Amino acid sequence: MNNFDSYRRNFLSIVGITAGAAASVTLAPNLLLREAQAKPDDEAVTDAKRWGLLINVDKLEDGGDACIAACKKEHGWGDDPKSNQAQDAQWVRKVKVTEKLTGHSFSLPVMCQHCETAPCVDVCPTGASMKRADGIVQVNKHICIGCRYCMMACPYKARSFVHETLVDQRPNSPRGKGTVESCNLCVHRIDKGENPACVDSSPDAIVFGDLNDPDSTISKELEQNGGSQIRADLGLNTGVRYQGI
Amino acid sequence: MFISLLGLSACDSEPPELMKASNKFESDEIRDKHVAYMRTNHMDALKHKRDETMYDGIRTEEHSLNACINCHVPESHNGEVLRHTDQEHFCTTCHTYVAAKLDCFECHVDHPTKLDYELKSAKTSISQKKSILKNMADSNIESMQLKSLDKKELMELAFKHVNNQQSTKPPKSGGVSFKALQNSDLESNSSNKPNQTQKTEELTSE
Repeated sequence: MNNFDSYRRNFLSIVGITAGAAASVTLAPNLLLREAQAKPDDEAVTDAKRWGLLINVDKLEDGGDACIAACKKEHGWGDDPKSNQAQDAQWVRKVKVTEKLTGHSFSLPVMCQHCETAPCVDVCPTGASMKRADGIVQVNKHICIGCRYCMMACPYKARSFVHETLVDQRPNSPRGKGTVESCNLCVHRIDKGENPACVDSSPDAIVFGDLNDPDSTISKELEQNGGSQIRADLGLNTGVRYQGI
Repeated sequence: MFISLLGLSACDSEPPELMKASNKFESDEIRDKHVAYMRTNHMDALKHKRDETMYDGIRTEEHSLNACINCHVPESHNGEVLRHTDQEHFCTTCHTYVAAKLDCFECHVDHPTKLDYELKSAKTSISQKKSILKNMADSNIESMQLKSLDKKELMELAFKHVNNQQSTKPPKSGGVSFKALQNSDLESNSSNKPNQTQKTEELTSE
């Protein structure tokens, strides 16, 4: 990993703050893509932010089909060559939950939960499964050896393995045979100051924002109405929270 | 001794001719510097940038693989998508010559691909295309023939018209709309494409 010394990091953050302030003055309000300002392209991410999602299952009319379709389109998965169903890519899964006693059932999209203490990062022998400073958990496919330990470790079944040679990948989402892949919170869009694709597809049901900022929409909503983690008992402090489950 | 001399003479062979890039540098001097630097260092630059992007989210154009591809690989070659498995591909030509395995394209896409927002701009260029056709009709350039022409012929006319405009304008201002036009027409008849690419080469060399 590239380690910048603290002087440079501080200097860059000051430059970033002034640049960000200047940008917010000059940009018209309707040009702001999301509430948190995009960092300058050449500035490294810091742990000042922690990105998170809040998914309101009650407001997802189709149980998450729209956001899954948006994810497939953004990252180009879902139509890959395969020899059996078990090889399907699963960046997001639609999970149907039924309460046995009452028969009440609903569906929710389950993807990488972007844990603070991610089991997949712990078990990776090469450091390919990694957590970025801003809380995004992703696979560095350059050094992934395809051992699939992370797939075994993930309690959410969030990861999948590419079994066949792929062509015509999306330019911002490289995928290839022999590597593990999962939701990366549309990291390329976040770095540009945009929302993840699933959020744009269901803006009423999914909120994206900075969990570290107490004034962000997601933090306020979580403070007022709460949001639960799936398998909170594991104590992973997930970045993806749900309402209505 | 004689055999080794023969071997040496075999090393004299010229390196392969590489495919031309689509963008132009401001001066030949800058281009030559770029070529000299990249010949020696592109692998290190790409690897350094790859780690910066993965770990720090730095997504500048400099040394970005997508930026390289967008400039060095054409969107279509002889009417087909040019892949890294083809010998004409910018990267493959050299990598085959030096027998160095090329791993990037196991995961990364090997030819320019339109992103969503670029597709939107391609849509606007369709309206540009229409306005160009309208201008043509207004200025009575072959306006009588327009009605009887089919879409393909209309497009050829439009390109001719743009070419004429460009020869009078400075190349920068005209180049944008022409390129956009060319991109937006990708889905239409493939038989047009060789002609179009030839035209771009003529334009950029002016």
